[in-house]
Amino acid sequence: MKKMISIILTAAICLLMFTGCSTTNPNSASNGTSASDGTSAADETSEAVNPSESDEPKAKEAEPCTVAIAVGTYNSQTLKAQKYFTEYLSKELNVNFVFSEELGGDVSKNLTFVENAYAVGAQGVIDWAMLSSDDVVPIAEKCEQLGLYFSTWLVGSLDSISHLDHVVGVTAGNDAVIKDMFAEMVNEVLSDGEKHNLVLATAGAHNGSVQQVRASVGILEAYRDMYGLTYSEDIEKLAMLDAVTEIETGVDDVKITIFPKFTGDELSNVLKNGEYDVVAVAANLYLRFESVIKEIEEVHNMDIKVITVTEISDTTYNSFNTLDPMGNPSLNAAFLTTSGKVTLTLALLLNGIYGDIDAILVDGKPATYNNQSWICYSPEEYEVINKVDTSEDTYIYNADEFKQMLKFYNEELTAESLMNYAQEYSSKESVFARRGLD
Amino acid sequence: MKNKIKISELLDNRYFNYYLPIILLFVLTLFFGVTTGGKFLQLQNLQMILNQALVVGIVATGAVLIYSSGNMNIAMGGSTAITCIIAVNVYLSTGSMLLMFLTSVVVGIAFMGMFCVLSEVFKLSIVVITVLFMTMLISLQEWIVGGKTLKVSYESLKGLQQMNVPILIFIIYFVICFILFECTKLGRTLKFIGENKDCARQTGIKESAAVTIAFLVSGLGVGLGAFSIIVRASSVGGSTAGGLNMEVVLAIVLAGTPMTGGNKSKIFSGIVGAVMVTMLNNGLLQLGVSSIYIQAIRGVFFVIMVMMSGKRPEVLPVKDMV
Amino acid sequence: MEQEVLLTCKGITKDFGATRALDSVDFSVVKGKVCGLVGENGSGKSTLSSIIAGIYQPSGGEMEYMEKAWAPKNSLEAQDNGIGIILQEAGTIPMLTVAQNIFIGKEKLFQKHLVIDKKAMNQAADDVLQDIGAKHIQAGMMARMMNMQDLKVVEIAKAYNCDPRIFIVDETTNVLSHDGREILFRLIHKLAGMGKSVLIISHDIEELIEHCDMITILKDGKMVTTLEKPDFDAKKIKNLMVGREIKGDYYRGDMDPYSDEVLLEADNITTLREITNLSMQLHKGEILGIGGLSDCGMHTLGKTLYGEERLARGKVTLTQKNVVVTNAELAVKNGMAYISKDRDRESLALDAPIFQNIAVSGLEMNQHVKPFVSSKMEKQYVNEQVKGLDIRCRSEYQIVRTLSGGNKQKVAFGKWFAKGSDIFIMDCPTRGIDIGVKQEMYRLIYNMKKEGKSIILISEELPELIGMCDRILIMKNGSISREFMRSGDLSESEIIEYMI
Repeated sequence: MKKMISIILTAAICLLMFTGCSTTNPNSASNGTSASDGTSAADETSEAVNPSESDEPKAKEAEPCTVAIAVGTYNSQTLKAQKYFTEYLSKELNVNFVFSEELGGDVSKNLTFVENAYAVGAQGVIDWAMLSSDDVVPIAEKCEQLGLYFSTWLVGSLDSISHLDHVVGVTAGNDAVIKDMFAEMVNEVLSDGEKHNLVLATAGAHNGSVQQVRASVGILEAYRDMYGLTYSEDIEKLAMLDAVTEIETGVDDVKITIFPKFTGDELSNVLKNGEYDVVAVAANLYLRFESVIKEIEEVHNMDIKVITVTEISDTTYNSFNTLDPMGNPSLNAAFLTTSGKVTLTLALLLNGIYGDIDAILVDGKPATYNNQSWICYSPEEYEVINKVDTSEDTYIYNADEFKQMLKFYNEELTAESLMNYAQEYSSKESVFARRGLD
Repeated sequence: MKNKIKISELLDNRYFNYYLPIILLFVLTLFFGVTTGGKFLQLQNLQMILNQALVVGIVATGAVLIYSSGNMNIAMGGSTAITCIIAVNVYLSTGSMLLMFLTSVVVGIAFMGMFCVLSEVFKLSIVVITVLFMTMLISLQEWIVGGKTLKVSYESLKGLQQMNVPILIFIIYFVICFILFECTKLGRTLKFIGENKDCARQTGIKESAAVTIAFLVSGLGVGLGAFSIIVRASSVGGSTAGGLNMEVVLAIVLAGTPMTGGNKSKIFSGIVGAVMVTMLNNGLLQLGVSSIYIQAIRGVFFVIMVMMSGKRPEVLPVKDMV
Repeated sequence: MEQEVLLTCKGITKDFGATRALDSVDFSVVKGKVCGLVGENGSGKSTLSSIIAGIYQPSGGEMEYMEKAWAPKNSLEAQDNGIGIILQEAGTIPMLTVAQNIFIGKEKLFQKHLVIDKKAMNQAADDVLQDIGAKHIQAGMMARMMNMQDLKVVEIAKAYNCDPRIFIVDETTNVLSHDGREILFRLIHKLAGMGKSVLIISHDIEELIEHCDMITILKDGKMVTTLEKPDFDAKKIKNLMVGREIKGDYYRGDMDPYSDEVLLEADNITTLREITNLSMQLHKGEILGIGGLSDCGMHTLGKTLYGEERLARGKVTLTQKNVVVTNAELAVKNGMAYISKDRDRESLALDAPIFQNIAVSGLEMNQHVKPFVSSKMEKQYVNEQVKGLDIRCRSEYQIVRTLSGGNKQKVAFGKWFAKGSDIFIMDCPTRGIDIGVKQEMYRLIYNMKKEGKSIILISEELPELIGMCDRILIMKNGSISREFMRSGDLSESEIIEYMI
C-alpha cells in the first residue's frame, strides 16, 4: 500500500514538474546525431533587403550539424530564443540543437555540459550561461581542446579568448552607443525643464561590467549637460563606486545618489524621504525595485520617473501598462535588449562550423558584433514591440535574412558586411518595417 | 509466492545487497553502451564521465563516514566553496601551487573541526551546527566573490590536468577512507552508532569521538574536493560548489547508503553514486533526451533507490503475533 | 456435571504464508468458567484467541457460537455479538478522554439533539469504572496523560461495558501493576459468577493456576491437552508446554555462597528522578536481586549503577579499581555490562545482523595489529557466542529483528560474554521469553556466578528473584525497604509486604 502511494506520488511530482516548463518541446531527436530532415534551404526568393546580396535564390543545403547551447536560466528571453531555434531555425537550417539544463553560472557544470555535448556530436557551443567574463575563459578553452567552435554574448571576455582558434566571435549590445542611448533617454524623460533628483542604480558597474558602466556614464553625462553640473571626480570613477554615495553635483538643488546595490530594501532606504523623483537602473533589476518605488510614490504622493534596462517579456508589458498611484505610467523609458543578440551568436557559430570562420575574423582574430538595443517610451509602443518574436511573421530575422549572415549561403559575406548588416537589421525601425509593425 | 520469497531472499543476501550498486552501475554502462551503438563505451567518453564525477566523488566519499553514523552535514557546499576561495587567494599571493594545495587541505579539515568544536561548546547537535552554517557560508561566498571570479592561470593548471591529478587525489583519498571505514574500528563504530545510538552508547562507544574523526576525515575530502574544483574550472565564483550538498547526498543514496546511515553504509557509495549521475547525464543526452527530462529521470532513479534501500525483507509473523 | 459450551472450535487451522500457526485445533469455551491458555511463543495461543475474536479468519475448520455457525469478519462484529478482547498492544486512543475511549463507537447513546452530552458520558463512564473497582481513574482525563497500567484498566472497562459473553484477555497481566491485576482478576471472577466465560492467555503459570478453572496447553500450533483444576501442577504444565521434561531445578538448586569482596558500591545516591538516598553493595560472585513494583525505581537504579542516569548526589564506585562510574564508556572500560529492560531499543541494533551486534563489543580486542580489526578474530569472537549460547539462526548474518525474543536476548548476552565482562546488570532479562529458553538463561546465570562474575538481577517476577538470587533488595519509592537473604523458605507473600 505504502509503495503504491509512493509510486503514484512520484508520478504526480514528475508530471507537475512539466507544467512549469514552457509549452515548446525542447528539441529531442531520437538519436543524438542528426536533426530532423531539413527542408531545402532558401528555394523561395528572398524578400529581405541585403546590402551585399546576389539575387539568385540559394538552392544549397548545408550538411546537418549539431549546436550545443549552455543556458544559465530559463527566463522568458531564453525560452523565446529556444523556441525560435528549435521550432523554426532548426528546420530551416537543418541544425540540431542541444540545450543544457540550467547551469546558473557554474563553471564546472558548464564544463561538464560541453564535454557531454562533444559526446553527443556537437560541433559548436554557444554560451548563454556564464555571468562573468572571466568564467568564459575555461569554457572557451575546453571547447578549443575538444575542437568545438565557440561563441558567447559576454563581450568583456573577448580579449582573454581571442587567441583561441575555435572562438568565432562575440556579440554585444553595441556599447559604443549605449552611452548615447541612455543620455537620450534621460533627455527625453526629463524634458520638462524642472530639476529632478536622481538615484542611479549602477548594478554591476563597480565590478567592471562594461554595459552597466557605459549606461551609468551616459546617464551622468546627460545629467551634467542638462543641469550644468560639476562632478568632483572622473565620471567613470563615479559610475564605479561600490558604496551608496550621494555625490557632489556642484548645484544645490540637484541631488544624485549612486546606488550600486541590488535589493529593494536598500533602495527603500535611499528613497524613503521622498527627495528623489528619478530612478535610473543600468541593468535588468527593475522588477526588484518596482514595489518599493510604488510604495514611496504612494506615501509621498509623488511621481517617480523610471528609466531602466529591461527585457522583452510579459513582465515588462505589465510594468508599462500599470499606472502608478498618481495615474502616471510606472515605466518611463525602457532600454531593451532584443533576441538579435542571441541570434547573432548562432550566426557566428555556424560560420565557424561550415568552415567559413575566416570570413568573420578581423585581422585574423575574432571580433565583436553589435546588436542594436531598443528604447521604448510608451505602453503603446511597447504593445508593438511585444509582438516581435512571437510568430514566424514577426521574428527579427526570418530564415532567409538569417542565411544572409552565413557565408555558406551568402558568398559575399565579410566581417565588415556582417557587422553592418547586423547593425542595420537589428534596429527597431528596420524590424518594424520588415515585419509590417509600423 | 515462491518467486516472491526468492527475490526477498536475494535482497537479504548480504553480498548481493552490498554490491548491488556496483552491479547496477555495470548494468547502466551496458545499457547505454548498447543503446548508443557503442559510442558510450569509448575510452575518451568513459574518462570524461569519470572526471566529471570526481569532485562529487571525493567529497561524497568523506561524507559517507558522516552519514553512516546517522548524522548529516549540509554545509559541505559552502565549506568547499570558501575553501576554494581561500586557497585561490593563497595562490594569487604566493604563486605556489603546493601552498594552494596545502591550504585547501588544512582549511577543509579546519572547517569540519570547527563544526565539532562548536557542537561541543554549545551542546548542540552537529547537524544543527551545519544547518546554521549552510546559509552563512553561502552568503559569505556571495559577499566575497559575488559577481566576480577569482582566477588561477590556466597555464599553471594545465600540467596538473594532464597528469590527471584529480584522479590521483581521488584514488589516494578513497584508499585512506576505505582502510579507515572497513579495516579499522572507526567504520564499524560509526555504522553501529547509525544503527542505534543508545545501544552504541550502552556498549561503551563514545559517539562524539568517532563522529569528530569522521568529520575531520570528511574535511580532508572537502579540501581535496576544493582543490580538484580549482584544477578543473581554474576559477572560483559566486556559484562555485552551489548544489554540491544535494549532489553528494544524491550520490550517496543512489549508491545504496541510507540517509539514516547504519550497517548498510558503503564506502564506495560516494564515487559509484557520482559516476551513476554523470553517466545518466551523459548517456541520456547521447540518446537525445532533453535536459529537462534528464532531471526528471534522475529524480525517479533517486526515489527508486531510496525505496529499495529502505526495503525490509518480508518478515514472517514473529512469535509476538502468534 | 453438565458443562454448557458457549463456543466450539473444530479443526481450526491458520496459515501465515508458509507458516502453519494452528494445526487442526479443537477447543471449547465453557459457560461461566475461567479458562487459561498457555504455550510457548509460537504455540498458537494468541492466534487462536484472535480467530475467536474475529481479528483473523481461519484457513480451515469451523466454529460454533451460541449453537450457530460462527465466522466473524472482524473484531467489531465479534464485539457486537458479545465477544470482547483485550490485546497486549495499546488499545486506547491518546487524544481522547477515558470516557470517550470507553464509549468509542457508541457516542450516539449520549447524543442530545446534535450535541454529545459530555457530562452524561462521563457519568456513565464513572459508573463503569466503579463497577470494575477502578475508582481511582477519572472519566474526564485525557488518555495520553495516563500511565500504561491505567490505560489497560480503561481497556478492561471498555470491554466490560460491551457486556461480553466471552471475555478474552491476551497477555495483559504482565503490563498491569499489582493494583491493575487485582482489578482484572476481581472482574474476571465477577464475570464468571454472572455466567460469562473468560479466556486468559498468559505466560504466568502461577497466576493462571491461581485464577483459572481449566488450563489448555498448546504447543507448536497443536492442542496438547486441557487440565482441570484438580490436576493443576506448575511443573507438569511447564513440561507439557515444552514437550519434554524440564530436568533438574528450574531456577537454582544450590546455596553457594559469594565472596566478601565488594566490587560495586552505591554511596547514598540520589538521582533527578525516582531514587533517593540509596546505598548498596555488590560482591564478587554474587547474584544480587532487585525487586519491587514496576515504578519503585529499580529500573532507574540499574541505569544509575551503569552510569546511564545522572546523579544529583552521591556516587557509584568500582571499589577494587577505585573508579567512579559516571558514564557507560567508563563502566564498560572497567568490565561492566548492562542489559536493558527495553531490549529492542537499547540492548540491540535490531536492523543489524547478529554478527555486528556481538562484534561491536570487541572492536578493541579484535585488533591484531593496531588499529586494524581482524575479520578472522571477529568471526571467531562471534561464532563462539553463537555456538556457546545456542543462538538459533540461519546464519550469524541474520538480522536480529527476525529472531525470536529468546534468541534476541542471547545475542544481547553474547555481546558481553564475548567481552569477558565481570559485572553484569540485567534488567528483566527473561521477560517475554519461552520457558525452555528461560531455563537456559538461569543455567547461564548460575554458571556465571560459579566463574566468579557478579550479577545484579532486576526483575518484576518474584519467583525468579527468590529462585535465583543470593540476596534480594526490595525497593519502594526510590529506596531500599528490605533485604532478604537466599533461603528455601522465602515466600512471595513475605516479600510483597515490603513492596507495596
